[in-house]
Amino acid sequence: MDHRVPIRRLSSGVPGLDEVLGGGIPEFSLNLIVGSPGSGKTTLGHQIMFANARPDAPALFFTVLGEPPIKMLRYQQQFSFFDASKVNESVRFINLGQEALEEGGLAKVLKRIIDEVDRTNPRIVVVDSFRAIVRRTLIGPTGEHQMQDFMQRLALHLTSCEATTFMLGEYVHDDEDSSVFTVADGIIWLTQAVERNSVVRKLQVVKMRGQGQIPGLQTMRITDDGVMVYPRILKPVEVSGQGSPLEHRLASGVPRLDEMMGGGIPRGYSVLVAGPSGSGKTVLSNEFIMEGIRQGEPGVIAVFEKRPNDYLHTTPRGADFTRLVAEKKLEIVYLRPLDLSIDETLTALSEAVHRIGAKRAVIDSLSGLELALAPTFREDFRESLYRMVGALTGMGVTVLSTVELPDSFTTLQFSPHGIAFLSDAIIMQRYIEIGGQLKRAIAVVKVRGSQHSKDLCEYEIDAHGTIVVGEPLHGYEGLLTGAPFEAERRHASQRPIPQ
Amino acid sequence: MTMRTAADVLVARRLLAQESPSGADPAARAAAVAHAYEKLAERLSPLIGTAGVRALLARSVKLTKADFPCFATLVVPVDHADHSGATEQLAACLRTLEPEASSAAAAALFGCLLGLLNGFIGERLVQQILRGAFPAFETSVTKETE
Repeated sequence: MDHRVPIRRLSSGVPGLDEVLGGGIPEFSLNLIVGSPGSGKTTLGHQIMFANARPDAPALFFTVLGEPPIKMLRYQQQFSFFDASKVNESVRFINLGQEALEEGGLAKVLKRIIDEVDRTNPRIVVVDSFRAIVRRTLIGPTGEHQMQDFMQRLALHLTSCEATTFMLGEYVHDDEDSSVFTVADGIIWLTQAVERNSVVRKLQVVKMRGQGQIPGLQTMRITDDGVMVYPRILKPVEVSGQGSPLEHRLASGVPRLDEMMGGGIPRGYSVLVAGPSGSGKTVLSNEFIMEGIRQGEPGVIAVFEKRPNDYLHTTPRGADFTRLVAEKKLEIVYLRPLDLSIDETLTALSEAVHRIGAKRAVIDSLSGLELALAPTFREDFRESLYRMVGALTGMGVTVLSTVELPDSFTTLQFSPHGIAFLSDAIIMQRYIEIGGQLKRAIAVVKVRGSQHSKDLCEYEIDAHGTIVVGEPLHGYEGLLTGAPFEAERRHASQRPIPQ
Repeated sequence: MTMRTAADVLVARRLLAQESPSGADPAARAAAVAHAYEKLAERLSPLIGTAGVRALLARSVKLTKADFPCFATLVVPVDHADHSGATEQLAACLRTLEPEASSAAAAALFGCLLGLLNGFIGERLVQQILRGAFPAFETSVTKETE
């Protein structure tokens, strides 16, 4: 029998945040939402409050010496979560500016909060900004003691009133009031990371008593709908009945390539298709998606270099894709470029995967994805990609990523990011010159845990945009130098000339 | 610059007419207007603070006094903890006017205050505040009248 006291958790109403918190906000907890000016504290406080306030369980929002309340109301009502019909009904705003400015302000603020809480019996209490109270209080010699007393009494009273409390305050990381931070059950820290010209909002759950939160800095964005949080680590999905990936092979849409891979792409694998510009990476990814849909496996394509309409107009299977998008068998995911986080990409992809039950995903291309990311994420591209590919394959999705790689005839390289090791399978495409013609060659470099062909085969893209893989280029040597010799001719030239 | 609109003044006029006893003497009418302001301020203060309400009243006085010089002497006190100072001064100004002029001045001032509120926090919230402060006041009728 489990004797632990059950702690109910309130949903924050913020997409992604409950997951980061470890399931939601513990009921009756006292939480600090802290960060620098403009980091989104007030918006987050409002969003949580509006999500939870009901006529029988109202919310109180106390404003103290921070943003003038009239401006706060003016701006906050721009967010879609702001429900004006709740104002003065299930949500009550109370300004404590007067009390805070008076002599003995701290005691008056505390008394007013306690009186209002006793009178209203709220479910949610928000104090914005408690830092303003702290600053005023800590001026005097007994300030620290007064502050501790204030926090202890406030926490005790609000908890005994069965209120879940959020205290908002302007803090930076090296600026901690120990008494305040010790009393809090939860601490949510908001920051804005500046990297060159881009700014990425971050959220960190520093502390959340009684539950396991997702550690680290999570990406956060403020949109017209309010705060959105993109967890770094998605909850692992139990994929049942999958068995070993090698037992279930997927057809790529190019039968000869499947043979080269030892019977197709193992289900749930991450496949990297590397090749120079125009070598047919997108064509192959189109075939992979088309074949999946023929097999009853919906697909998702993430594009970064073109908008979905442009992509559908220019990609070889564009006409089919347009129809399949309408039939909800395919989703084209396009994400805002240049200040993107990998977590937003992952969230958008995983939502699309869930929406249509996708089994296959294409990332076209990793080069485009890297460009679309905010600089701070480009630095951690390998780690970011590792998380993204891991999360997608963890959902049972087979991922095919393309990467542009200039032909090099002196080194054998499969990705510009050192990410080849993240891939379970690698398909290489490159140009070679044979008989004065520029030809394309394809090879399977790696299929983890599986035998595969070692052949380098010539391939063509026909008028219908189909990849036709030819026979192995067995009669040549030096193919990877780009200028091969016919093996027989070279050996003949090396034979000694008969005397 | 936010100026009172005809619709705001109309709402204010209806509101004040409802709050003022008909046929009352100037002093009673002025007191009723001041009381109406007090009720609105009480409802607004928790939301935007006492200082916020006073700031809006001061702005309304400034914008209205060009058309209604009677408000030129009305100085909204900044150091009062409540609204009593402003209320007394408002009533004093209105008492000096003929009934017709008093109604027009009060409606203009209130209309300006409502206009500012509409501009800052939106009509929907303002309507809610009015309904809270004056439960008998039909805000839905207000819209039709406009």
